Amino acid sequence: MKKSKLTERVVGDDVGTLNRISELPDSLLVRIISLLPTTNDAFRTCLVYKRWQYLWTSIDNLTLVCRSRSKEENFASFMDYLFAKRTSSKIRKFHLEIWDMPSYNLQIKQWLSYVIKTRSKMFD
Amino acid sequence: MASSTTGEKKILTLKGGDNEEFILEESLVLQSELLKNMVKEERVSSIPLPSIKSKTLVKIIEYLKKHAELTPSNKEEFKNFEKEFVNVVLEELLDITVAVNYLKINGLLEFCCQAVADRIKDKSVEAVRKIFRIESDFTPEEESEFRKETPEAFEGDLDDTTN
Repeated sequence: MKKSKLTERVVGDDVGTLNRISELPDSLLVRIISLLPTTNDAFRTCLVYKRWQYLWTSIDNLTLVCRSRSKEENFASFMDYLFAKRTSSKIRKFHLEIWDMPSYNLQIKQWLSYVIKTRSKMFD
Repeated sequence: MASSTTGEKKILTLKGGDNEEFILEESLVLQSELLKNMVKEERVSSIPLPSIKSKTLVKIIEYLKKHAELTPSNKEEFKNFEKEFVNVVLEELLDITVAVNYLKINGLLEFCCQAVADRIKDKSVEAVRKIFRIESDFTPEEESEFRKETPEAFEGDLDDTTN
């Protein structure tokens, strides 16, 4: 009896939170990660756990911030990646914070027209 | 949603997972879309909630009471109460969030989700795993490929601590 009690305790301690986190339905996890400060933060959760890999593709509020001028290239390719992979047909909120990026004008236009198209479809 | 509070107050019993009973005014539970539908459509007076621990139910009822008393003049006090409400260990916060999601108490759900998000805000992938006690099921190769593909997402000042 002593032995089984011990096992129970150890198992409980080890997987307590894990069980609870796996009880959370995907829709709730999506809601949680969409409340992170930026889309970048939400995206990063894809690497936490395989089940979380595609959660970020469903978020419908996009907050994109280019942190520094030297990161423009990475930022632009992340934006392209994001729009190519996202699966939500909605954009409830869109916030883009960038420097003046003349060499990316064409891409910026494409991003904005994607957002406008998606939003206009929402109100059809 | 027209409702009148004149006349006798209706009483409702909620039964938690461990069979503990909570007797409260029906008007309080109307903040829950799920319970509101049950009460209005089926005219029940006792609702079993086997998936919700009594401890969690106590917290939620406490919130419903405070929220029902909310007026423009005690807004600050309510905000402080909310802050304290989610100031619990993560495990308990997740219990509450799952229950609130099930009960469909929309305002509180948004608040709980934000509280969970705040726990992993600005954290590195490794720290998020530790916080949720999740063991990675990616191979190191898969992981490094991912990081190479989207460097923008994994650079910057990320917090490795779990506090």
